[in-house]
Amino acid sequence: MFVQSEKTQGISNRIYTLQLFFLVMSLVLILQCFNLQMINYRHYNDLSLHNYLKATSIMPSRGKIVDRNGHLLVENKVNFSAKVTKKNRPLIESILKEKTHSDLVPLSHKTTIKIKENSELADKVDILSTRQRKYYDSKEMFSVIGYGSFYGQEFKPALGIEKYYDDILKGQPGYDLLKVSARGSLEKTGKSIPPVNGATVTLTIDRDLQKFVHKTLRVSKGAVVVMNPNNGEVLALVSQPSLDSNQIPNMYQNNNPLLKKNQPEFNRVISGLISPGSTIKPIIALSALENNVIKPSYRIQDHGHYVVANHVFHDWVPKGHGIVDLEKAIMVSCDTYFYILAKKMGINLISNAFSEFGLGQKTGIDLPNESSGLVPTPEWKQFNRGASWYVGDTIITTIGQGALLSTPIQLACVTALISNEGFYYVPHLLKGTTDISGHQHQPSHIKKVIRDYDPKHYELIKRSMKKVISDPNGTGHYYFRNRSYSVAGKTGTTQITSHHSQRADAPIPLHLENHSLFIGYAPVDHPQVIVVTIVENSELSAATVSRKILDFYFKHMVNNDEIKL
Amino acid sequence: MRSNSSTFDTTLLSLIFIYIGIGIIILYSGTDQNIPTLMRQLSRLSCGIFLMFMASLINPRDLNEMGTVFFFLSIIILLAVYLFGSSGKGAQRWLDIGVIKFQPSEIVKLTLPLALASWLDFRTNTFTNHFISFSILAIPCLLILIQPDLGTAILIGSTGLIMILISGLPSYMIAMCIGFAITAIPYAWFNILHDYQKARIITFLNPGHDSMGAGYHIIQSKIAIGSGGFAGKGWLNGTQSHLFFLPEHATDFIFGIVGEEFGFIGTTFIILLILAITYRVLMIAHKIDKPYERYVCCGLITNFFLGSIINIGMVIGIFPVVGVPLPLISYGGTHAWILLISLGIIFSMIRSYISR
Repeated sequence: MFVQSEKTQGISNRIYTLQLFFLVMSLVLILQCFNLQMINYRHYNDLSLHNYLKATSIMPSRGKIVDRNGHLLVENKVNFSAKVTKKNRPLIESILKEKTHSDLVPLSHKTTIKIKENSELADKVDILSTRQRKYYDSKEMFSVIGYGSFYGQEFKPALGIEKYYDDILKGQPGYDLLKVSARGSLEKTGKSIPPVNGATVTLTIDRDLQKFVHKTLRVSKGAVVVMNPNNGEVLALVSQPSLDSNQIPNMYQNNNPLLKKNQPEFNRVISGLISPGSTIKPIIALSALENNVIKPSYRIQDHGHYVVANHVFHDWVPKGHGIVDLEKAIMVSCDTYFYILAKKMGINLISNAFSEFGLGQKTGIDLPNESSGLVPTPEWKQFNRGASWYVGDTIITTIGQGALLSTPIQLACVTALISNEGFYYVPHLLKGTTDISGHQHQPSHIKKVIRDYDPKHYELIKRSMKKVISDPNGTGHYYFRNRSYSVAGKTGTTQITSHHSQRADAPIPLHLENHSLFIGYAPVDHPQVIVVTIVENSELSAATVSRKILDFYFKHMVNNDEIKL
Repeated sequence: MRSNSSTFDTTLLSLIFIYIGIGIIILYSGTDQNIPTLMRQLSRLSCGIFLMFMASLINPRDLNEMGTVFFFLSIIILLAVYLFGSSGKGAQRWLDIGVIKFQPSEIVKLTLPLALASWLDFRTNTFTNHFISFSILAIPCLLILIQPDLGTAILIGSTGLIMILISGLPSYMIAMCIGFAITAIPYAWFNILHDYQKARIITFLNPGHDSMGAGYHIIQSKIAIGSGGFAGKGWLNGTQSHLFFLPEHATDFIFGIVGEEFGFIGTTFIILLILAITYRVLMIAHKIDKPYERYVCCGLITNFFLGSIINIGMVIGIFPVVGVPLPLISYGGTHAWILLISLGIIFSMIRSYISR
């Protein structure tokens, strides 16, 4: 054997040290690889996928909107147009068989298919597709449907059902996965998630009734809501003035002056604040009975005015109505009777009654921008007007004037509550949805509001409201002569209180002239329809409009919609 | 005793050929399946293997006597690159001598260990001689550092240091070395390192700092390695590399492909293979009874091992980005030739010991 010298033995030991050193270094490297590839694999894999996979969205097609009978109200359209360049101008002109000077020419669907099928043509002509929302009966349906428009691929809902049910209508975008390199090249991976198209929304609206109401309410400003009290389904909802859903995007582009004048965002049915006037009297009467302020037999002698704190409040009939009991007070809309009730009840009881009937609160109808209205209280007046509450304030509140403000849809709920003798369903426009696979969904739960008052009291109020129409002295009798169905209701005449207070001696400007209101239900025994009509500054009476609507309803719709008991 | 008939350590030779073979498979992916590029590298490798066999025929005694020549040769070509060098990526690393263009610092990787080994074999244990050992190492290293080529300077410096330590150093010299290092490193930081080199080191310490600049390399290579997981995405299926997120994936960052396409199995295998080649040489070095041959074997194989470790460490983010290729796998001519010649010389050094 070879014998190592001392020197080489030392070197050998140091080589062992070196080997150990190298082994440790290798282990450190392996450990780091383990750390990156085993422990943090998910993290780095995500980063790697994020690096090279890019998702581009495929837009779903927006859901249709149909009325309760399946009539199409809103659908989508795709418009095609061709980009005209210097090179392809003669070619496009030969296809269209006409001269063109613009850079973008619209194509019919036929021409588009012709170009797309011919690969030679398709290479030379760039076809752009633009999506469009197509509204049918767009003027009549505007108050319900609202509108929206496409900005490129994306739809922006602006108003109405389009906005409120955007989540249902819009569907879910799909994705196409693309492979991207660091140098920017793109390549399809073939993997994609298809879009889920928006569901079809079925409305409770009856298209024909809605069109008829729109035609009948031929006034510059007004509102009508027709509702089924048995389930809260809104059959027609019209706010005038209305615009054309198809035209509004263009109108905004052209800065059309009609937009400022007509305020399309302002839907009078749900956000028009009006003094409810005499239509509120049944509530006052009901509350007075319920709180034992008066007995059903309570009667007064009406001389045409009532004096409180040295202030004279006049009845709308200067001579007065003579002896007036509760039934007559509602039937002839006797103001004096309610002045006395006001004095007896006091403002707190009255504002409580209003609140119990849903005034001052949003009804929860499925439309955007609903207003809550206003139920005045002494605290409210002190805080907002800096003045104390007077008995006079109570008096005019009782006949639905003064600071009290409500929306037509709130009045519809009040009417439903009375007609149903103690409950109403929250008004709604959604009857159901149908998703792309054909599954139908009903709205999950319609809220039922219950006010359990004495049935006798309800009966009395309903009898009074029936007499408003049926009794020759009733304020609504004239308008419902020769009808073929039974109706109960209440008329009202009021002034719209504006933000600035009006002085009694100042001349009344046109926009503050008398407005006419009507609330009613029919038939009397088993109510199946409620009409609330507001007509502002017009000769046309709200009761006349309501009569025509009810005539139409009973002539054309009673067979479609059987009475539900 | 020595016969001219070639006797090779078959174990070492097989390990080297396995390594080269795997390297070609990896490089095929690294060049994005570019056949002409791969063929160019293949011809370089064949040429290098021929040079390896030629080098294995050299008599160690002749090499030992040429130590002084190697030292001055190193100095001259490094000065030449300083005077006539052409720059690539802002550094004067290339020397163009008409026919071929090469990186002189690569040649120094071979010549300096040889020169140092001769000196270490010759010197006696005096202070002056130890000082000369360090000077032989320090002068070329400084010349490489100012090119600037931090990676090669570190590689050659640490290789030489290990050779000096192997040869035996009195403890007072070791203490002085440590003292010198502590003072020299801050000096080098402020006076010798270029801004981009400092930026790389800062980036290494904090890669998120500037992800689109100097940190981009590290972040992308760590993503490549990490996303490979246990078994990798499969050969040619790397997304980081083939979609160009991993820069320089045929040269300095080729280990990223190993990690991405072959996973933890692949990275561990390559590291262990490098360690096996190194261990094989060092195991034989134990049996060598002549100091010069031992110094040469240790020096040249340390060069191979540290070069690999620095490259892999850089790609997996535990070492700054210094621009050192992965020996025998990265695309490139000079470093492959030098390495194969080094291996050839190792074969010549160990020839007479394996047959026993």
